[in-house]
Amino acid sequence: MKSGDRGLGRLLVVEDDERLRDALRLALRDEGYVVETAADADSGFERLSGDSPDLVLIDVVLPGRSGLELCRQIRQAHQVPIIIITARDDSHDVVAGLESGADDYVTKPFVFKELSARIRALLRRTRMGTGGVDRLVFGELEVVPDEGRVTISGEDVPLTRTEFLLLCELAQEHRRVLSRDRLLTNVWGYTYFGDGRVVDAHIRRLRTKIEPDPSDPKFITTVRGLGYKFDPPIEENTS
Amino acid sequence: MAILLSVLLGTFTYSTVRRVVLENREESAIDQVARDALLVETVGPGSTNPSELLASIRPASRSTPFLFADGSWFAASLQVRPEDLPQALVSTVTSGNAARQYVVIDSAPVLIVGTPLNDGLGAYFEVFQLRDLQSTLTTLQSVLVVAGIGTTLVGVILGWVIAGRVLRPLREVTAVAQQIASGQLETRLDEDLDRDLLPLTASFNSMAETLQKRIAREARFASDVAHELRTPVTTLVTSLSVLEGRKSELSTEGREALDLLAGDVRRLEHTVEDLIEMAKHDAGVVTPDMELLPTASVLSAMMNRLRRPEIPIDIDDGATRSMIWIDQRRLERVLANLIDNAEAYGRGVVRVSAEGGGGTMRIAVEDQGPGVPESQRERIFERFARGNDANRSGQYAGSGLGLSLAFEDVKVFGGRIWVEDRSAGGARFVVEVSAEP
Repeated sequence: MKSGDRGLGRLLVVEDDERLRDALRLALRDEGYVVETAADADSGFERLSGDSPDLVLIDVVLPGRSGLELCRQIRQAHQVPIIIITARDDSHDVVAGLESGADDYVTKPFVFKELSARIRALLRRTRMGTGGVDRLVFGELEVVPDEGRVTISGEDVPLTRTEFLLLCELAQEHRRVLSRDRLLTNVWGYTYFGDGRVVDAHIRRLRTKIEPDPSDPKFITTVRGLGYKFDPPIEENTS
Repeated sequence: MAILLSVLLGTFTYSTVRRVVLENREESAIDQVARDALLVETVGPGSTNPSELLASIRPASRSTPFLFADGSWFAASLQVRPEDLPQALVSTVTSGNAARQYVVIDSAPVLIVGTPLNDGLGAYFEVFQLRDLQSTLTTLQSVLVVAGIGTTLVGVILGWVIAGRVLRPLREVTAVAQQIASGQLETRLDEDLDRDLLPLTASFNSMAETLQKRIAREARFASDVAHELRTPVTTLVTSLSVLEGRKSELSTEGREALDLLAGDVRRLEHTVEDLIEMAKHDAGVVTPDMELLPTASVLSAMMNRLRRPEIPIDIDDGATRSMIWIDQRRLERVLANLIDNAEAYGRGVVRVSAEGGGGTMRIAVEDQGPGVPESQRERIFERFARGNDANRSGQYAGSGLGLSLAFEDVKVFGGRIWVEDRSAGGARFVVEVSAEP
C-alpha cells in the first residue's frame, strides 16, 4: 500500500474484540478504505494525532475508558464523523451514546452492508458543499453555511459537522416541518435507513447549544408525529 | 345442616316430653279412678241417691265422674254428657274390664278412665280434662320451635362468620396467586391479613419472592447469553460479507458452501437478535415509545424502509385521514416479521392493507399461500413453532421466534394480532391498534 493512498477514505476502527476487529478491517479494506485499528481508547486517541482519519468507528464497550469517553474526548478537538458500535438497543444507551457526540450508531449484530452504507453516506456528505445562501440571520443567531460557522451574538458556537448540517437544513427550510426521514436523507445522506432517534438526539444536542433555554425551545420546535421545524420568533434577514 | 339438627333435636325433645307428661297424667288418673271407684264401692250400696254419691266424690284433679248403675247414667256435672263417652269403651268396662281412652269431646282433649264396680254395682268412669296439658305441650312446642329457629339462625350466622374468616384469607391467597400467574411477579400477601395465618402468609410471600428472582435470573441469563453471542455473530456476518463479495473467486463447491454458510449465519443472527428481544419481553423491561402518527404516511414510510416499495398498500377511506397510536419501530418490526413469514410460508405477500373504524385500525398482511388451518391459529404465535416444512419456500432465514415476537410487540403497545383466512385464498395476518379518526 502506497503511503498517502487514501482509497475511498481513511478509517479508524477502535474495537477490543480481536476477531471482530480483524473482520472489520478485512471487510472495510475490501470495500476500498484504508483502515487503521486500535484495541482501546488510549491507543485510539493516539492514532488520531497521526494521519487523521476521515471517519472513526468506536465500540462503546472497551477495556479501561469507555468508547463514549473516547468519543467525547475526540469531539473536544476534532470534527471527524464518528459512528459508535453499541451493544444494546435500548433507547437509554443509544441516547447516551449519541449525547457524547457521535454522528450515528449501529448495534451488534449489525449487517455489514448497513454499516458500509452509513460510512459511505457520511463521507460523501463531508465532501459536499452546503449550497444555498451566504448568510442566514435570525436575531442573535447567525449561520454562515459556506464557512461552516454559527455564531450567537458574535460568539462562535462549536457544532459537530452533523449538527451544523442539521441546523442549516432546518434554517434553510425555516417555517417548514421536516420529517425525521427527510432529515436523515438530507443531513446524514441515508436513503431509507437510519433511526429517527439519531435525529432526535442531534436536535437535543443542537438545542443545548443554540437555545437560550433548551427546555423551552424557541428556534427549533417539535411538531408531534411529523418532525421538526425551525421557527424563530424574530424576523429573518438575508444578505 | 343446622336446620336439620335443630328440627331433630326439637322433635325428639317434644315427643319425649309429651310422652312422659302423658304417662304421668295417665298414671295419676288411673290411680285416682281406682281410689274413687273403691270409695263408690264402699259407700255405694248404702246410699240412696247415686247423684249425691257422685257429688260427694271430689276427685283430686279436675275430672267428671260418671256412674253407670242399673243401666242408667249418673253424672255429677253437665259438662260432659254420657252420650259423649265412646260406646266401645263403655262396653268394655261394663263387661268387666278396666280401660281408658283418649278422646276429643267438644274439641277438648280428654282422657276417660273407666273401671267396673264390684258386686255388679255397675261401672265407674272419670273424664279427665287434658286442656291444661295440651296448652302446656303447645307452649312447649312453640318454645321448641322458636328455640330451634333461634339456634339455627345463630348457627348459620356463626358458621358464616367462621367460614368468612377462613374463606376470606383463602380468597385473598387465590387472588394474589392469580395476579402473580398473570405476570405481576411483585404482588405479595398482606401480612396483616390474619394473625393466625401468618405462617401461611410468610411462606407464600417467600415463595413468590423466590419465584420472581428465579424468573428474573433466567431472563437475565437468556439476555446475557445473547449478548455474549453478539460480537462473534457480528464477526461471522462481516467476514461472510467479504466472502460474498468475492464469490466469483471461488470454485463451484466453494460457492455452494458459502451459500449454506450465509443462510445459516443469517439465521443465527436473526435468532440472536430475536432472543435478545424476547428476553427483554420476558423480563418485563420493555417500554414502548408510543406516538400518534398519520396512518397512510407511516405505512408507506415503513414499507420503503423495509425495501419493499413494490408491495401494494391499500388504505381504505376511513384510514386515509386517521392517526394511529403505535410504537413506530416495533410496528415496523412486526410488519417485517409478517412479511418474512408470508414469503417463507405464504408464497409471497399479496398486499398490505389498512382499514379503520370505531377507534381501531386493522393493518393486515395478506399472502397467497395455503392459509392457516383453524387448529393452528393460536399455535403459530408460540415460540419456535415452525410451519410445515413442505410449505417452506426459498431461503428462510428466520429464527422461529418471529411471530411470537410480533405477538409480544403488539401486546406491548396495547394492540391485538391474529390470523384469519383471506377470502381469495391464503392467510391474512391482522394487527389491530388504537386509532383516531
